[in-house]
Amino acid sequence: MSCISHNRNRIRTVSAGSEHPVSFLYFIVVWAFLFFAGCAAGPLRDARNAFYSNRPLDAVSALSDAKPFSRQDSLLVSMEKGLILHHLGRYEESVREFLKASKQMALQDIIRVGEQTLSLVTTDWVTEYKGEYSEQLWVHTYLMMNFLILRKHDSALVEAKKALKVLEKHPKPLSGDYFTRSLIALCYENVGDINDAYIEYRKLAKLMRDPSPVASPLYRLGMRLGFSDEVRQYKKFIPKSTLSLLADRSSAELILFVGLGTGPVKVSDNIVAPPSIRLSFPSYSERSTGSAEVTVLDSSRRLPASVITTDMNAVARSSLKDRAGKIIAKETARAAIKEAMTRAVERKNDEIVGILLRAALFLMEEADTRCWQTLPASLKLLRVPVSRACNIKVVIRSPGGVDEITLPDLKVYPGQRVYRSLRVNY
Amino acid sequence: MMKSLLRSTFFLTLILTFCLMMSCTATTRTISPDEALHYDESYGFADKKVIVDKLVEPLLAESPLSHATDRPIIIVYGIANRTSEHIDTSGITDDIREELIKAGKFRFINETQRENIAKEVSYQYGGPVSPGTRIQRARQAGAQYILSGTLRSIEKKEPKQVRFKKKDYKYYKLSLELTDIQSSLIEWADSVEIIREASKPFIGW
Repeated sequence: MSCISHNRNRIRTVSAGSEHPVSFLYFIVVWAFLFFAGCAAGPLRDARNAFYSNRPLDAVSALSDAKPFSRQDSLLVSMEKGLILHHLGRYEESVREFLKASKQMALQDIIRVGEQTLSLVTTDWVTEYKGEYSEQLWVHTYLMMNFLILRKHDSALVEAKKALKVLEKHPKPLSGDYFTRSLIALCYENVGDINDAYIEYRKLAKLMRDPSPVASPLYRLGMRLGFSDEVRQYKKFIPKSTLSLLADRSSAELILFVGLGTGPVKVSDNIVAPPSIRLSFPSYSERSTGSAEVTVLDSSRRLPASVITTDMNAVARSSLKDRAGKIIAKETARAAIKEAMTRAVERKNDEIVGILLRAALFLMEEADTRCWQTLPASLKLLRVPVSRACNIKVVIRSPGGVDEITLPDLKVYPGQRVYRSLRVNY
Repeated sequence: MMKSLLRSTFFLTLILTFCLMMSCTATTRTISPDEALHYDESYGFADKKVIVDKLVEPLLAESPLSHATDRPIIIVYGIANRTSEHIDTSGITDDIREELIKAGKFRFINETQRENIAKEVSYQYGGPVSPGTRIQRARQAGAQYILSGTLRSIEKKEPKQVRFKKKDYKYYKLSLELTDIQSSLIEWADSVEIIREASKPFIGW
């Protein structure tokens, strides 16, 4: 968004010295395009700023339905709004926003000729934002979290199946999203599909360097399914103290979703070649690492917890990298088309028109840096065995300091799973 | 020459504008509930009707309970959604219950109103209601059977190849069963299947 404003100023400077009527027309067209592109992103920028300034209510009102948003950015609006509402604990509303995003993603499975043609002579900013593969997956991840918290296990499973489809479509770039994979397994487990849950945990164990965090559910479900050979293999990774807890059927489980840090943003990387060819590519830039130590205490006694973490920075980067070939091909085609257009105009008009068109197209060449910016830098899933009466406190030691969060009114019953979601920005 | 070109361009623009405006006009029409209307391969209201019709008929005609004279008492425990779509399966059970009640062969426990019933009973016994008009406690009917089911789906996409349209196949199966609460035996079970193919264009405007 800041790039767009920057370009707007530069175009004004170029046009200020010109008195040619045709150049004025070009100036108006380019200015109008950049102005509208900038305006559409305004509420999104305000919402993100408010969210990171610890004013989530202002962030929601910045994205209220009453405000008009361009079709190009509507998916981003739903993603940002859904996440902010989740952070506020308004899970039903968050579900509505994310379902809107999910529906939109399903409808985007089509190549729009008009939009693509326009983007070939202007910029990718004119196209409808489709979301990176990782972002598409995380819409389902947040929906799963919302449904689990709302105890709508059937709906959570529907989202788990949708997330699996995305993972199957892009297995390599999304292989590092352990958090989503463990949520999928949990969704199967909740509805009693323990065989499917076991399969998902096993996939996760294969993907992770150290399968310890999923050894307990694999051991527990493997025992029920009669997979004695595999059970022996996973038993080695479970501490003795945890084994006794697994045998205790009266034990309940607290499942914590912890979002840490500030997720990555896209920036524009440029290659300039003479005479005025500019190739602009998006890349992810980290804002924080998302590394933190999360401890769960019950009346100052530290509880054993298995932790599964997704490095959102790494998954977002590998997701964009997977699409790099397509981006380069389109960027090259756009550069060739723009150069051909400019040469044709230069041949038929006077020099000043050609120069101005070159300048306008050069400035317009801006990488599509739209992305879901309220995401955390890492997502952690903590599974904590808890007793019936508990006074839980979560301590998060991050580069931003120490946060102590008390979980109010936590009532658990034997064999029950309770879900809570936390977010710490730094 | 120039004049006629301008005139034909003007008329062409006028016709195009008219066509565009006509296509943009909002329209509404009432659709019969019996009309099978599908915009894509996913579950729709017409499917619900097919499912209900195909399951109620054998339950009334072929199940061991169809000949019972004492109008067995059933409790509906819902249909588990195991598809990859958000489907409100309570709509299916509501319609099945309604059809069975209309047939007059079964009675149903109103499980969704249990909390409200308890609230009302405690109000009646709380003091303000005259003893003569209070309902009697411990007179609720106990269910003899549980009606439950599962809705599953299998999706298949056409493999990648050079074409302008892509095809999706969807298979839905709703299994319904009636369990005797006393013996835990499944007294009756049946299922209905729907298979649909839909094609979508790859390219659009």
